[in-house]
Amino acid sequence: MAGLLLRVKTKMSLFAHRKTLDLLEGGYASVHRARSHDFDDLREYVPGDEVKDIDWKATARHGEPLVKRYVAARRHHLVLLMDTGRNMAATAESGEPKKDIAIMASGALASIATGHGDVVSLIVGDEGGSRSYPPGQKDEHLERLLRAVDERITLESPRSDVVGLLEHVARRLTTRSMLLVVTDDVRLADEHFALLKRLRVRHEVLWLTIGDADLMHPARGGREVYDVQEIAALPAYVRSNRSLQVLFAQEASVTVESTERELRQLGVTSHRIASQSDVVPGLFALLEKHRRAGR
Amino acid sequence: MELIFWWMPLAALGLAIVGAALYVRWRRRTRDLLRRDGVPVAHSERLTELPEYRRVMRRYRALLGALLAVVVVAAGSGVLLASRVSSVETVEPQSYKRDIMLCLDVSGSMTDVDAKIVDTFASLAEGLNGERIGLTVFDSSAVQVFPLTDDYDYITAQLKTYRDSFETQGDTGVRYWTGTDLGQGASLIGDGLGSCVLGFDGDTSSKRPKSIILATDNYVNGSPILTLKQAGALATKRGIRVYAIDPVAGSSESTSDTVAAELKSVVDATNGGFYGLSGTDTVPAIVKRIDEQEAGLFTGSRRLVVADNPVPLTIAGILLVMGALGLLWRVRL
Repeated sequence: MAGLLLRVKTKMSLFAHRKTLDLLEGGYASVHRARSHDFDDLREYVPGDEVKDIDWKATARHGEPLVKRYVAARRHHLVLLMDTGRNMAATAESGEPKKDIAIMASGALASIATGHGDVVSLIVGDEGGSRSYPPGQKDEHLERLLRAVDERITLESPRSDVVGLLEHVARRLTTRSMLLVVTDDVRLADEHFALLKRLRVRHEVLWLTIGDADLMHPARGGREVYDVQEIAALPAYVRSNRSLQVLFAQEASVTVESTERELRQLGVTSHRIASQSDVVPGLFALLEKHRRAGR
Repeated sequence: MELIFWWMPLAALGLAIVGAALYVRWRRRTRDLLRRDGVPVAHSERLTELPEYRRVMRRYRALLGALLAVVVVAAGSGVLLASRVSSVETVEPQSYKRDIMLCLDVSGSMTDVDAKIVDTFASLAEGLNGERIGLTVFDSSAVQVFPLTDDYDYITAQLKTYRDSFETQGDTGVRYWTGTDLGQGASLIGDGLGSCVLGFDGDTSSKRPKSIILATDNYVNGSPILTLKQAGALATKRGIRVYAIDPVAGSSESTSDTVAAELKSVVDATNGGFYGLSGTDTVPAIVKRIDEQEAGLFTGSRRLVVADNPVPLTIAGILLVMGALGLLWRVRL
């Protein structure tokens, strides 16, 4: 059986050019502010790298911009916070299952992190409770984490509970970490904001939204559309109503914008991706936004 | 209103119950089916919280309700159609589809009676349906004024013309005696009756009751080709009843009794009747009695007529099905 991590890596190279992947690596490296003074080696500059890391003398000799690499002062800790409720087994805006996009996004960031020598752990949560997985660095470890996510997200899973997940993290996670919250178009309420505020004190928080399907989109192949929360079908009559389509589209874009704005006000960088091909550029945009916000 | 297949609604009800039970069972499975075939989506509250959604949903429910009602009513009318809705009536078959030949002796002494007879029939003709009336006048020769017909306007017009003619001795309208004096003698009753008998359809298979109303005083003057008896025998042979109206019967003249008795015996032989026009009887009353006697002869037994009556239900059913299709298209089920 092909590993999930292998699949993630294959898809990354399928959906993104080599250059884009480099961009992503540079972006990830530059979001960490803590650096040591132990110089390791030089490598080619990729957009996203800190300008102050450029070794100008070496660049002058080489002809191409080179950046200094340092031995990391300490391992960074990336924690994947995965919403594993049955919401995540539903359809994304692109028509793919949201689960696949979530696994690919978290897998991509995790593999880049381990490539930088960082440790990755996982906390999954839904109404059935939250569960933490220990940190690790090896590919087998990542594979285990991704599989845990894959197995946990099904249409029979309990409902989503982002508040519960955040609460669990706020209570249990004491190590200073970089959190990647992967969820969907959940409507954020005061409880979310309060918890995020607490988390922000100790951690860096990245928020990745997997865009939900457009409910007013005509069903693919004339199939029924049903809500996973209540297992209730949405009648085609309602979905084909023109004025409702317009209103829904307006409302949806307003919600997306307000979510990003409110998260930004809390110091949480967020980005919304809608398909697997969105993952690599989306992650890069997320990291870029985070780096800018951190300045 | 009755149902020929009275068990059909019960069968349909049974089918409906079985169908409903099957549907409920299927419905239980449809949840799994939905999971297998449907597109799962999350956060439908993004849609359901819109006020517009509630409005659309209300309209959807109203349409569904209307659809259900239309389908139920259409199914009901279909079941009624299948159970053959019929109207049940008891019918007395009318025996009025008769042929009546007015056979009038137009010798001078008879014009008063003739006028009354044609007048009575002129007023009767207005209420008739399916009867045929013909008029033949005779004296020494017979003239068919009009053959058997059910053109009542024409009958009435002709009878009224002749009534006026009889009343004014031929001064107004037609000269009623035209063509009746070609034979030798006068009041050749046997010949006149014979002509009337021959005035009926030659079709012997016709089941229509035939009768002749013969107005004569039976004073024969001359030698007829057919005697009254022979003419009566011909009428009997052809199943024609002869009703005689005799204005002089019961009068004081000595010969009248024997003459009237002969006429009476002849018409009785044809199963008809003899009516003397004495002071108390009027022509309309006699005509009425003849009518009753005839009606009594041919009133058939009462019959129960059960007729399917599918037209209104069919139309309603088609309209309802069309309505249901329209609604189905509207709700996109």
